[in-house]
Amino acid sequence: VDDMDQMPWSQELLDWLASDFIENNYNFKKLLRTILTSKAYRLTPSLLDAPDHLIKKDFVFNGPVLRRLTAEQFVDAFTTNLYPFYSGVHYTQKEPDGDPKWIWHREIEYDRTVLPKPGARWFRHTFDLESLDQIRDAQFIISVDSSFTLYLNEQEIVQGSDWRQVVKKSIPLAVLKESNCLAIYAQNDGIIANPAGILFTLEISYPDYTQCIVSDKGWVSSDSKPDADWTTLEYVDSTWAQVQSFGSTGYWGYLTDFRFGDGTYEPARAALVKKDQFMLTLGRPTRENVTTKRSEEATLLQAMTLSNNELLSDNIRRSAEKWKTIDPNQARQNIENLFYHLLGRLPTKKEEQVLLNEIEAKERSIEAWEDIIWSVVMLPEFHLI
Amino acid sequence: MEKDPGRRKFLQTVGSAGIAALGASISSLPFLSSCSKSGLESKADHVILLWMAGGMCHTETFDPKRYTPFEKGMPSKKVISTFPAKPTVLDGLAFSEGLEAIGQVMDRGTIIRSYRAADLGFILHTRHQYHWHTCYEPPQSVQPPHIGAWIAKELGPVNAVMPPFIDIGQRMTVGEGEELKAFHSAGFLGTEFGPFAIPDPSQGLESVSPPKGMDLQRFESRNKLYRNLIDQSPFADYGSSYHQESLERSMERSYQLLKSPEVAAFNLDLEPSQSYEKYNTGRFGLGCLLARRLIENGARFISVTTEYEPFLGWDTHENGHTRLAKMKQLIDRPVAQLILDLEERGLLDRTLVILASEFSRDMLMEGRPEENVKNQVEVPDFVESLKYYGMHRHFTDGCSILMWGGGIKKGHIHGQTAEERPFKAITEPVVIDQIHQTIYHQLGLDPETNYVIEGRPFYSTPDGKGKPILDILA
Repeated sequence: VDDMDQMPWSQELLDWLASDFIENNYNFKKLLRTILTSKAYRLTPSLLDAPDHLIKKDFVFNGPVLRRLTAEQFVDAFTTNLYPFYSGVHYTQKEPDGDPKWIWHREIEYDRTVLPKPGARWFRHTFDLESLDQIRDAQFIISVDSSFTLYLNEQEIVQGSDWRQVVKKSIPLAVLKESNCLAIYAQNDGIIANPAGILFTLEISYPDYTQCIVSDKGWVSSDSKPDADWTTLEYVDSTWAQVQSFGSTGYWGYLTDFRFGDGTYEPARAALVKKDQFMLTLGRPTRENVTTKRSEEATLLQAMTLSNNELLSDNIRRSAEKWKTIDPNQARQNIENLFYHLLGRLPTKKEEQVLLNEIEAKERSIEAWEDIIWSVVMLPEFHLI
Repeated sequence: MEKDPGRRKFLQTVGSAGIAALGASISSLPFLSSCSKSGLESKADHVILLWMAGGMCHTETFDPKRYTPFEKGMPSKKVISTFPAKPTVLDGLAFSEGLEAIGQVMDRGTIIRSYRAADLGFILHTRHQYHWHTCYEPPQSVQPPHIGAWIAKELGPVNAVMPPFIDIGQRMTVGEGEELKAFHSAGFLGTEFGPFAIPDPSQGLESVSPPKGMDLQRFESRNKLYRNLIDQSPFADYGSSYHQESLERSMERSYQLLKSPEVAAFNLDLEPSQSYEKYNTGRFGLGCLLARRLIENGARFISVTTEYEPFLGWDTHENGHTRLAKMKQLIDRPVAQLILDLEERGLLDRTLVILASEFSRDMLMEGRPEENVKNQVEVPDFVESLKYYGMHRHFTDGCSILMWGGGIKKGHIHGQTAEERPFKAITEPVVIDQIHQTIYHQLGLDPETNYVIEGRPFYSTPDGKGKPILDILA
């Protein structure tokens, strides 16, 4: 039976809440406030001896039951306190500036499009500008899975090797001409065919309007090394093929950082990202079935994923880069902050000593901080709320 | 745990409050009352499923018909088999050209030629794959487990450090990834019994190693740090809890596995190169090699797939003949070598190997004779080029399944299909719940294995039905 079909543990309390809800004009905020500020809710959480503890005949209510973080909650907690776990969402109302599409060289086998093989590809796109002297500025944003070099009118503008670090730059106006040629050299890493893509928006600002040049179906690409002049406007690319477009989200989602301006943007909430192997393993259900309950049992597969998942390890490294320090006083401060953010308390003297020893033993390297962050995030105390 | 007495008796003895209470669970653990072992003698300890994803055409592989070579302009309806038949080691059994190696090991196994896939309306691969792997027709209100998950749950791994259900060869980033995820799952049995995925067998070792860039020494020191923190934790003073223990225990198990000697089984580089080359036809071949190594080290259920990617692999909507030649080359030597290697190591008798696909194909018919469904591929009246020479439609009424080991008869042919179009099963038809129950039968599992989920018993096959195919059992 569904959670909703169960007998309530206290019919009287449920009835009271229901009538209070009605009396307060069905106000959800008031209902939440009533529950959250109640003495019952604020009791010390109680631990379960066994999964069926709650329905035993001799059960006594001692306080809210400790629950395990769901997959999405774990990811969001990580995002909020350490590093954005995901870079792109699949469901959003705020789409990236310019509405670019993810593109890559179209790979065909037996008349069918397939996932791209690892290796280098070359991309070109030409465009015209109207009134050069009216241009106020030119900015672009680019993200490429997995690495790239961007040229404009034969000049190398920028390189990148991490699709999660969106690159934003201005183009010196002197580089722009009436007819322009964008060229990108890009690589797909990996061993077997895997997703690859380029996302690009160039915004040219005039006094009253802006012109956008984005990555889309109009670009062309090649998989064989072209002649040296391939970045020039005059290069003949008639043998190059039209790129394949993966749409606005492709495999990566709408990158939350793919916007002009320096503002900080809302990180990607786990529930808005398509479920991946990590979240699936941690118990996020597939959408084919209505799942009203998730098992809170920790499984071997989950533990293995938490131990060696590539995305998780990568995110831990990125967060360690922010937290690490070689200054011992700063280290102490950072450890306190880490505990405060992740566990809601300060470390005990003993805990602090364990971690400081770790930092010394690993010579204040980033590995020490990675292992510290991993260990804290794997504590039952972090997973049980 | 008590043996569940079966649905009707269950409803009689438990009152409605009891049923409601049973539905209230934090974790479904205690309510998954397992059936006690059936008392059936088991003939197999391991299962390897060789999954030919995409609809492997039986008349182009294991059930060849009259050979009609390519002639430009030939009428489509005259195209029967695009490959000639070649003899196998068994008298009276011929396979399509390109499967000679597998033909040589048919004296160790059985071929079922009369498998009939279900009627699921307009033919979509992932729906039929879902049905094949879970035995339930989608959509379901409860998420049914993959057959591998049932087996993992009932039997666990042979070697405790191994994940019991391993899935090799399928990436989830390819088309229809969402639909694939729907049945690559332990469903309501819980993620403990879900598939351990290894999309690329040559990188299998990575999935059971410490994270990239971390050597064993650092991995051990990290684990020590973790244990230290747990020991020092003031949280521990509040008393232990089920959740805490569960988390700590799983992390400990994982740590043990990731540094156990068994992980060497995942490392294909350790295979002698002569043997490695016999399997090296591509990812599928290497997947077979990995499966063998894992079975040797105590894995329970392994699925090796040629991988479902829409319109690729066996899923020929055009270029059928050309691509089938390649697919047969991909599977022939590795599958045969797998059987021979298992036999050489004395494992074949207790390892049930199955080769199957979700349905078959035909030039003209879509669906089955009594129930045609909407065509998805335009078949021209005349075959002007090789692009149109092949089986490009989906045919559900006659498919081939091969089984070796695990107590299956040696050198046996079960059922037959018609010699003229439509090439449907005409004797001893077999359906999916029979396949599942045959596998469970050989593993010694109760045919009425079930769990109470959301207040009702959910059986390993719908209503616990499906007579094992006794005729193919040794």
